[in-house]
Formats: sequence, structure tokens, C-alpha cells
Amino acid sequence: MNPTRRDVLVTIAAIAAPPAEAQASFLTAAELVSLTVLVDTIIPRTDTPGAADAGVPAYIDRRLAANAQLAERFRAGLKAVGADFPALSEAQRTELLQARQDDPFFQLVKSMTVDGYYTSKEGLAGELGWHGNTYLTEFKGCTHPEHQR
Amino acid sequence: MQIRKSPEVHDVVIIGSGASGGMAAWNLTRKGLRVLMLDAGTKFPRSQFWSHVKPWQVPERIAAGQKPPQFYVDLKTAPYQTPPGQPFDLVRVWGRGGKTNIWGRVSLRYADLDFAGAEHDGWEIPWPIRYKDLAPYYDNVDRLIGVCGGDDDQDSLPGSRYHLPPPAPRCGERLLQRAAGNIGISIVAGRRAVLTRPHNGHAACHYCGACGKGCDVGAFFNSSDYLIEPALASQRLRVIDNAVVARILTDDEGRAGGVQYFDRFTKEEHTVKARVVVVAASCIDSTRILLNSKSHRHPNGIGNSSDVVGRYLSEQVRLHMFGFVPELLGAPVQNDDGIGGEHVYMPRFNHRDGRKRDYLRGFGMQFWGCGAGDNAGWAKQIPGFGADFKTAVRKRYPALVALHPYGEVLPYADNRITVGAAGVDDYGVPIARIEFKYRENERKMMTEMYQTAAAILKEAKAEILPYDPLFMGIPGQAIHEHGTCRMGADPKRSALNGFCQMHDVNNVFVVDGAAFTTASEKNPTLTILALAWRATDYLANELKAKRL
Repeated sequence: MNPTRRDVLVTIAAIAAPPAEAQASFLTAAELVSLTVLVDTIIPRTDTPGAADAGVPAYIDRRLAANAQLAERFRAGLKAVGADFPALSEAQRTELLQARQDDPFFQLVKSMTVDGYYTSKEGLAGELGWHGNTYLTEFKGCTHPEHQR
Repeated sequence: MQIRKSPEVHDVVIIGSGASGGMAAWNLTRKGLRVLMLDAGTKFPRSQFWSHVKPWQVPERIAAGQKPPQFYVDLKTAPYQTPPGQPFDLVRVWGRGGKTNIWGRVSLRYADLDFAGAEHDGWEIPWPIRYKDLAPYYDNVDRLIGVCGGDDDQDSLPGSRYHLPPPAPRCGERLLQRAAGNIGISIVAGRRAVLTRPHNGHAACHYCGACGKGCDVGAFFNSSDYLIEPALASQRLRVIDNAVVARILTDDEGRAGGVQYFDRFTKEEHTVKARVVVVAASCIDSTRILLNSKSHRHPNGIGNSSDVVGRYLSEQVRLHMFGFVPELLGAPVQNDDGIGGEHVYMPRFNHRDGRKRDYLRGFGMQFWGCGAGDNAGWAKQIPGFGADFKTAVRKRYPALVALHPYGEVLPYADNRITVGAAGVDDYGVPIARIEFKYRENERKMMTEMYQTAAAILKEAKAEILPYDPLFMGIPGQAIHEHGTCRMGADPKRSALNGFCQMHDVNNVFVVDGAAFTTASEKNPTLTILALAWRATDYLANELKAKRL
């Protein structure tokens, strides 16, 4: 299931209303809408949360705010995707991205989406099932008899 | 500016607080000597480590203005220069314990294959010591710091009677071990300075896998907790924080008499006096200090009549290959953290009978990152996007295996560091220029490193992530710098004797990685600790015999 336009706007509202101290941010509200749809096309909501659910647009925005060179490159790439991208149907978005898989901007967005999503609680713990970085009294390692020598 | 001169003459001044400086301080104070340590930073409090901060909490904390300990010194404070198009990534930690706060902990003994390599192939000089000279010190170090590992030794990997129990391999490691065995390559239990049970008053590992952020309970060796704290407790060690050493000071005869340093923050200049100077500031920073210690007796830097100081910089060459083993595709996700880093190791095998090679020396292989990790950066290389992409990543996540061969870089006279032409730092001290290149020997070795990793993956029937077989990485990233003040039997071809003592100036000892004659394919810290222990045993005896 892909996010509806309403989902996107709800997400944007959440991003746009950070707690008390203004967070460092780079992208405009319109750019954030495009980015949100873009990252959700790369990692959509399925039976588990998608990239927008996991806060990936805000994650990317923070990284851009910290790197001016990257930020300008990113802005230009986002512009080239087109302001009407969020309004396209799912099929149209998929078709558009399929044609651009070798495009450096697509690679950049995919790379940052992977970084953001698979280090988020939703992506890492929820989607992948990571349950590490805890306190164990013993480490059992591989216990499968079929994997032993 | 006024120079603050301390009138007290210490028995020994130690420059640096990492593995070698900590060992020197611990061993010398134990022998009753009065020691001053100059540390370029301060202590990193364990209570502030982010060992148990989950990946998704990191951005939240940073947004809230919090910071983890800043282990790595920034390039403004500690600049260096490289020629255009010839990068070298130099990683340094200024502060108590140095890089041992966040080190990889792989603890492999050098073999005579390593010490005597040059005797067999004629490339540069052999070490002035052999395994039998260092073996008792390896034993001492294993017992003191705690090293876990197996007893599946090899001719290229000497064993230890004192290993703590090795951790069980992860599933992916088991499968690689089996596959490698099928094609005649041994993968043995890893050897790592991680406490798999409580040891000498230090807590056992709790398998959280976050060693790279610093261990919040000190369950792996770090110089600060394991060596410097006990030395401080002896009341015979004094540490000066934020003391950035510039030069060793010499008298008219060219003997060392003390050290000049600058306060890291006030930039005030100080001098201290000592009967013996132990240099332990890490390979390149130590060498820079030696080269900057010029006088009429030492026009090329202290102890450098041979002109080898600064030369023969030997890092290691390495690569990274990733794959997915079929048995684990879609398998239930386990907690694969273990002791952080791999639980297995592939010792060097290319020297054995029946194997041909068109290059000198050899390589081993590490396997960190097998199994379920705390990110999925590899997913960038999985093609596509959308729901299918998500499924493809999830299926592969528990099946990831990672292969990291490390190869020896030969010592070359013009892989070197120099000072003078590269400008000065904020303290007015000339910075190091690092010139380092891989050559034909490394390129040929890389080819076999790739072929070996690919052969193991193929035998394991793994899906191999795309890789560039010509990629050699950026030098410095193994963080294994050696050789710029090498030991040797011949004073014309080496700067130090087998006890890390300068041939030219008998009251200066260089005890860190700079002293290595060759790099080998192995991680250096265990050998640094053993060499520093041996050197300071000798130093203490020489002082008592009034020969220094």
C-alpha cells in the first residue's frame, strides 16, 4: 500500500512542526513533499512502515542542512524530478524512476533512504528484526547442527 | 612568550598514552622508576560513551545538542599534508589511551615468517629479533590484558597457552569456514583482546557489539584502564594532560635531556627534564617529533644518522567483499553482535608448498560484519526500489557475509614522511608531509586477495555483491602505520636496536608502531605491547646499571 496524498501531508505536518527549538533544516515545504513521495516510492509502506513513516525525509533534511555542497546538488536533483512528481499516480512514479535507476540523483536519494530507513526504529528493528546492542550473559553463536563442520 | 621550565629531572618521560605509552608507564613504575607521561588530550570518561545508544537515537541526541566523546583529533588541531592525488587517511586519537579506546582488538602473534621475511626474499632488512625473543612477552601480554582465541595454531599464526575461551562463530562464519575448508583454506578461531570471562578485575563482555563506540564496562583492553590507572595507583606516575609534544631536547653531546611541549589549548610552551625519553605518540606523530628534534649533533633529526627515520612507512592494503549465503536467506534474525568483529580468522597460507605467487609476502583475512548488523548499507547495491526491493533486502539481511583480506605493504624508502616543506601547525611546529603509494607488489597481491575471497564465496554458493577488482582503497584506512623508525641489526640501515633503543642516542626509545621493521599482514597492537614491555624491561635494567 502506498501513501495517499493525505498521508504525505500528515507526515509533512509532523516534520514541519518540530519541538520547541527550531531544528536545522534545509528543504522548503514543497521540496519536502516531493522528497517524501520519492522516498516512499523507494521504500513504500507494506505490512511494515515505509520510509516516510520512519522519518526518512527529516533524516535527509538534517544531513543536507549539515552539508552545503551536497544540499545544493540535492536541490538541483529534486528540481529535475519535477514539481508535479507528488501528483503522479503510483504507476507513473514507478515508471519514471525505473527509467532513472542509473541517474546519480536517484542513486543519491536511494543511498540516503537506505541509510535513514535501515537505521530507524521502524526500518531496522521493525522491518529487519534487529534486536542487538543489548546485554547478554552468553553468546551462543550458530546452533544449527546443519551448519557445523 | 615565557617558557615554563620544570626543574625536576624525571627518571623517564613518556610521550603518548596509547598502547605503547601505557605499557611503558605500567612496566617502568612497577620497577620503581619515577615516570612523567605527556598526553595530548584528556581522559575519555566511560560513563559518557554511547555504547548503548541505538542507531535511531543518535540523530535525536545530536539534535538535542548532545555529543559522544570526540575520540578523533581534528585536522585543524593536528594537520598533515599529502601530495595532490596521493591521499593518506591518518586516524589519530589524542587523549588517555589513544586509539585503544576504540581499536579493532584483533590480537595475532607475529611468526618467524614475519620477523625473517627479508632473509628469505631479500627485500630490505629482517627484524633484529625472532619469535623466541618475543614469545615470553606475548605470553605476558595475553595474561595481563586477556585475549580470547582458540588453539588451532598455524605456522603463520603462533598460539598461546593463555587464551580465554573463544566465542562461538556466527552462522555465516561457520558457513564460510566450511566453504574455505572445502578448497583447502583454513579459517581458525579469531584471537581478540575481548574478555569472554572476567579477567584481572575487569568485567566480562556483555555481547552488545558496540566496541567501536568505546566499551562502557571496559571489557576489552584499553591502555587507560588496564595500564595507566594501575600505574597512577603506584604513585610513581604523573600525567600532564593536553601536552602536545614538539621536540626532544638534547645536550651538547647530543644526548636527550628532556622534552618541549605546548599546552593544547593555551599554546603555552613548556619544557621538562628526564634521564630517558620514551617516544610513544603513534607511528607518524612520533616520527614527526624525531624529525623536528634537530640540533648540531642531529641535523636530520634525532637519531637519524642513517637517514631511515621517516622512511619505509608501511601501512597495509586491504579490500572488502560481501555476499549472501543461501542457507541463511530469509532465516529468522539472530542477535549476531557477539564480541564485536569477527569470531574467526584466515591465517596467511600463500607461502605453503605447492602454491605459486608472483609477489612477495602475504595476506590474511578478517570477517567483521557477518550476520544481522545495526544498518544495511549494503542494500544500496541491491538493484531496484519499491516493495520488491524491501523484500529483497529483508531476505538477505540475516545472510550477509563479509570478507576483508589484509596484505603486507613492502617497506619502500620513498614511502615516507618529511617535515619542513609543509608549513607549521598552530603551535608553530613543522607538520608532517606523508608520501605513500602502493606499488606493483601490492597490486599483484591484491589480485590474489580478491581471487581468494571470491573463491570462498563461490564455494559457499553465495550471491556476491558487485565489486571493483582494481579498487585498492585509500592508504591509511587500515590504521596500521608502521616502520618510519625501524629496528635492525645494522645502525647504517636502521634507527633502533631490537630493544627499541636508538643506535645514535642510547637514552631515547621509540616503542610504538614506528619501530616495526616490516608491517606483516597482521594487526600490530599485540606486538606493539609485547615490544614495549620488552624494551622497558631492558630500559629499566640499563638505568639500574647506570648505562643510560
